[in-house]
Amino acid sequence: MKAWVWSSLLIVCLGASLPLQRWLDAQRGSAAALEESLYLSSGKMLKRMSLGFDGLLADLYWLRTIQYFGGKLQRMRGSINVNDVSSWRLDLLEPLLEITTELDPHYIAAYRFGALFLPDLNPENAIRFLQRGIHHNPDDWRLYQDLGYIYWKQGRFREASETYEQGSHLPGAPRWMRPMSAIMLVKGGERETAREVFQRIYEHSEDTYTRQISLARLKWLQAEDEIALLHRLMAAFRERQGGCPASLAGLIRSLPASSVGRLRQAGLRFDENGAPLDPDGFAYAYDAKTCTVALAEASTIVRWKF
Amino acid sequence: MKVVPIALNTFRESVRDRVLYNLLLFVLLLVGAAIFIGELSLAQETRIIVDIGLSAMRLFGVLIAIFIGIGLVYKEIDKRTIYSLLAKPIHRYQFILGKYFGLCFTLLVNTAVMVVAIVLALLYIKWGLDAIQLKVLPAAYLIFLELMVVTAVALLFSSFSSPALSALFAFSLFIIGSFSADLKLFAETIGSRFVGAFCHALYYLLPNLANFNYIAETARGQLVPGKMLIAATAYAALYITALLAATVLIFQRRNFK
Repeated sequence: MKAWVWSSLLIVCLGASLPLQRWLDAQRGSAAALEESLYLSSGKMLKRMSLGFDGLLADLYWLRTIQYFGGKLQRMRGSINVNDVSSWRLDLLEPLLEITTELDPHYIAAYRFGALFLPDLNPENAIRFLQRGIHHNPDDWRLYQDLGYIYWKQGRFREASETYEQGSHLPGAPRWMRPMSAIMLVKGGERETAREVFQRIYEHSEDTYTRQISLARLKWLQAEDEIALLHRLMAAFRERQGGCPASLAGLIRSLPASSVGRLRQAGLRFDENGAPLDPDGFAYAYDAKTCTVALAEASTIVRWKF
Repeated sequence: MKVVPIALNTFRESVRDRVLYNLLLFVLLLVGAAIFIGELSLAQETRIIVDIGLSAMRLFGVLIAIFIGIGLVYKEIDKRTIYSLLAKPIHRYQFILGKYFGLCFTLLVNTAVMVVAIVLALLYIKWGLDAIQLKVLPAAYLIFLELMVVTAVALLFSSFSSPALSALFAFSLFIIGSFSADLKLFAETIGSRFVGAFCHALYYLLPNLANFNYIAETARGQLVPGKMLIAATAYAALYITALLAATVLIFQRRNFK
């Protein structure tokens, strides 16, 4: 047979295998690879079986974790319900991080990634996970910051304060760790404290995903603040005019220029018609019947539900 | 058809090389697992027998496919028997196809005996008939398809490289093919568009052996869906044809003078 026959066969068969492979991928799904990696679920056992390649194995597990969950984070839009583990397979996150840190107990990035998500799934396990991290890495102030964050999230402000205090004495710990300890005690439950916590995490994280999550939460907090502010302005308008404004732009136009200037200074942005925009640049949704303001359906601000 | 005598001869050769002795080791492994692990596994003996049986079938099969596959062409050249063969009215592609199907037949016999051994071990464990004994069959069929792909890979490398390098290349491809899901995951999540496109291209170009791996599902008692069997068969047929075409193209250009 001529060479062109074989060449054509080679090209046609390889070409035809591509759509078939796509179909096969669609049938089996991407979580399969992740589940396969949990086939051996004990990090200690894996460590013994790794024949000295435990560091490399830890890297592999970390890469799988970050590729899968990182990919999900990059695509996240709209409403995030961390309790809905079925779509994200967040149930796989804890064992994957456990294995990674059992293979290499000094994998700081894994502890930090876990600190951001695990508290929403199982706070006690998250605390144990971070405490184990601190046990193996007692000189890393970032783990104290993360453990303090988890305590704060649980409303355990005294423990959060103590953890920030302990971390503040470590070499390399930033100055804000000590005042943060005091803030936790005095006004732990306030939104301002939440902003402070996420701002610090954002500033002191090296990995993109942690920064992305912190930034998303900061934006959400800002949007919540702005909505609260607009509702206050709305209440004042109703008191003055006896009804709701026709639009948010109308509400803003009714304010004196000095007040609008102050709003701008506080970070609120407006479109060309004067309607207020959320931190991602989408106009806030407004219901003139009920006088309520909310994030627009199309807004890319992530709504966190816990 | 000149392919059939070459294939039968290749099969006889592998039997003479005592390739099928691995079956003895396999049966011993299964008997040991059925008797001892069953006692230790807290009612998970069926799962463990299926896991061990199918995994050993895959491992032994891949070792045979690679180590015999890489020598298929090289041995004929090394012993200079290729000259007497090609002097006869045999086309080079017939020689390649004969060698390939001969080794596939050896693997078929090997896999079939292993399946019988697994079914017998499951009969012993269950003390009678059970659905799992039938569910093992499609999983074993997929393993056989995977071995056919690996054999074609080994034959491709053996058509232009030395046995040591061919073994290295074939093993590397087997490992990459087994982790292809990671390659795709990496391609989808990497920031760089160029690296992502490169990884995607690699993913579709290299054999995706994960398509044939249903060991864990079978061990959990799931049956391989019929549509997946058909799709995996079609994928194997396309990929094997492409590999054999590439092998023939290379082999036809070789100069044995």
